[in-house]
Amino acid sequence: MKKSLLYMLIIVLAGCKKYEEAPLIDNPAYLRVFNDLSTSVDVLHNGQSAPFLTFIMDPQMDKDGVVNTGAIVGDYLGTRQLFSLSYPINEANSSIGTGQGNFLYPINYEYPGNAHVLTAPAINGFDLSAWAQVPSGKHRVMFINRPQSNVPFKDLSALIRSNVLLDTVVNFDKGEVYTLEVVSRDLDRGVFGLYMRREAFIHQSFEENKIYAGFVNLSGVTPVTLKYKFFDGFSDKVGIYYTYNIYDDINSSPQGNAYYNPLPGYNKTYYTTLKTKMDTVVPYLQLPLLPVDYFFRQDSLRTYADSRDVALLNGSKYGSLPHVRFDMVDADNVGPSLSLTCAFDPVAYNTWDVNNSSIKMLAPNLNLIIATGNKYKIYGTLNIMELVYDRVYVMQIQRGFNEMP
Amino acid sequence: MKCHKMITIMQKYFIILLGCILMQSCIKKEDVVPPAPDRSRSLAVTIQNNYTFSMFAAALQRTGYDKLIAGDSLYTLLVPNDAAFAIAGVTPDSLQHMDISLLRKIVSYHIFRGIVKSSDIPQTIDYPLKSLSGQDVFFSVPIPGPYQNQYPDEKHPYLHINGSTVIRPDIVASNGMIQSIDRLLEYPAANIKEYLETHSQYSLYTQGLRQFGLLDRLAQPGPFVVIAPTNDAFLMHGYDSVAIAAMDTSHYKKSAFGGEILRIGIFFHTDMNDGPMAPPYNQSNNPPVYVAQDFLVILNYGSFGLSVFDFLHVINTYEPPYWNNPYQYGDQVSLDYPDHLTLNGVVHGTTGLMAIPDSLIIK
Repeated sequence: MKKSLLYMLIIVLAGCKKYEEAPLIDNPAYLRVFNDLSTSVDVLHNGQSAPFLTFIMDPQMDKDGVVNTGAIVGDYLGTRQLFSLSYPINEANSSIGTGQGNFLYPINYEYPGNAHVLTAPAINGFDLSAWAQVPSGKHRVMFINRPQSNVPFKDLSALIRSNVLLDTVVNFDKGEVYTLEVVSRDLDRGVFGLYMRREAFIHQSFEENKIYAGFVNLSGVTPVTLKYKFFDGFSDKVGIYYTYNIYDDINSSPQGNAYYNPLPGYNKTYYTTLKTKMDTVVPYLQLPLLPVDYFFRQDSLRTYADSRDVALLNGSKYGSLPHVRFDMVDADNVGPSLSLTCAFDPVAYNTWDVNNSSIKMLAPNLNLIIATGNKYKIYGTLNIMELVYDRVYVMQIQRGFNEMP
Repeated sequence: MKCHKMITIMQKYFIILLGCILMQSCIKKEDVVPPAPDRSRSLAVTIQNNYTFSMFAAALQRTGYDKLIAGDSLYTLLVPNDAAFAIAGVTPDSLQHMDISLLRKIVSYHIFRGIVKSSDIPQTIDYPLKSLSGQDVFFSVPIPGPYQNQYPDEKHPYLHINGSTVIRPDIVASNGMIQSIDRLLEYPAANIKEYLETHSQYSLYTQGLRQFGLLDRLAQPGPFVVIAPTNDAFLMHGYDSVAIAAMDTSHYKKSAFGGEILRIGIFFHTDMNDGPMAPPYNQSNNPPVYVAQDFLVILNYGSFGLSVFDFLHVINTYEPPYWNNPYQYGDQVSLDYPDHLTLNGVVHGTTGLMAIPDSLIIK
């Protein structure tokens, strides 16, 4: 009997392997990297590779003097998704085998993303696990254009590895949270740069029952095609208005049209004008977190904007949940506005193709709805909206929860 | 006793079972060793032994470059097959009688120092690499993206060089690499002005450029892309050299003859598919329009046309005569004789007329 137990123990222990824990970093800062480049190379914009990058911090060179690895390597850095959270939104998704046709290759939409690195702790009540721990101090940072393939960076040819897009030095202060974004400074001339923001929300105080939205214009020089209105994009000075829409139950019908009544005091109300670009200080607009009754209709949770309406470009139907719409106008000229209706389901939002749908004009609902069993709780959120040429990248900072939902 | 015997049998079975379980986790697979490439043949031997490369072999022999590639130094060759020579109008006889200095320039334009594998090229369009002749050759790789319709794999070509297609990539030799292409690459002319003046099928266009004072600019550093209409295009619309000479330049907009000149980086006709663009009516921040001070060129799936600045309004307005046709100043043209590289740009010939001069009279 004792021998049987011994044999059982051997079987059980055969499945155990002890993994080494990563060493802790002294005096860390916290880093997150995005690739904001939304246009690719074509015959009118050639001379620069497609916006698929490798991020390297503290690079190391091979024997020919070309970078081949570094202290941190964020490979396969594709253009970011429109919606990101403060924890890695793709953590449960495999990054292997995305792409189309025969082009199957990994894509990481941010660094660290799915990478197994030490992450930031919760600071000021916010879940910051999408930020990686890095040593503080000065660091050399490089972004290199790489092909969309499944070859790791160090195995690419020297010719490809010497296609450096950005090479600069950044300084991280201890304990601070930094977001780095590769931006296009001039689409017509192919000029690119690095935008670095030291996040201030870890030092600010926020109320639990409010929604916060901050705007920053990260567009570069207005391209000629935008100047002549060949596409809808953000102008140099962007005036922002907001409307808080409540679904009109009486006049709307699911098969017919949807009507919305703005909350009193929140009807095309002026918020601010963004006069400068690439600001690193983001002021926040406060919006109320409505009482729970607004989110329910006779004990059933109301709905997000329907996917079919996005596909059919049906501009009038945005679901029955209360939602905020931001209208962004050219502050210098009278004309139509670009609107961002925050009415979509955050779970499905990133699955939409930004090039072939109207998803650019929508954003996830700013009210965070958490379901546990049959009970729903509504939470306020902190959102940073980054305006880049013709789209808005929304980063939603998730609060930690003081109580179980 | 029987009980003890049972337990011993049980233990034996248990140990055997344990052994089986532990061994389940070990599977020894033989390593698959890929067959070693045959590196015993040099570039010269590889080309000599391939009957489709016979014209290029004859060119190498005549220019003396066959000795260069028979040694130990590493070279990469872009080898046009015999069909490519036929398309270029070069026969074995004309090859033997071609001017030797011109032939040396053409052959050295197809040779590169070092090994250039197809996977070594960055994923972009028109990446320049310097050939033995000292001039750049431009390599394009299809770029995955939302409008990309080419899905290359190992069996299909996915490298384009100066508008030609690599039909057999990465042929390994002991001292280099061969990329087999389907066109004979033209040695770049000195400048676009010289190219247009030495090719008689563009004589009417050259006459118009000279008259409007635009020709000398095409000898300056570019880069320019010129979509040059052939003489047939002008004659089809009723313009001969007398009619062009009779034009008073002060009565015409600059785009009458300048509308075909684009001041952008060079591109070849294969780049239209390698780096595809959104359709013109698709609102993205990379709309395929070229905006110059005086004119607008729209690119529409490989065709080019001159248009008004508010062409989106035109194509969305359901009224004749311009409904869905924003090309009010001429034809929508395609690149019929593409990819003539010069040192300051590229000339694409076309049989359509993008800018019909009489539609560009200043009213």
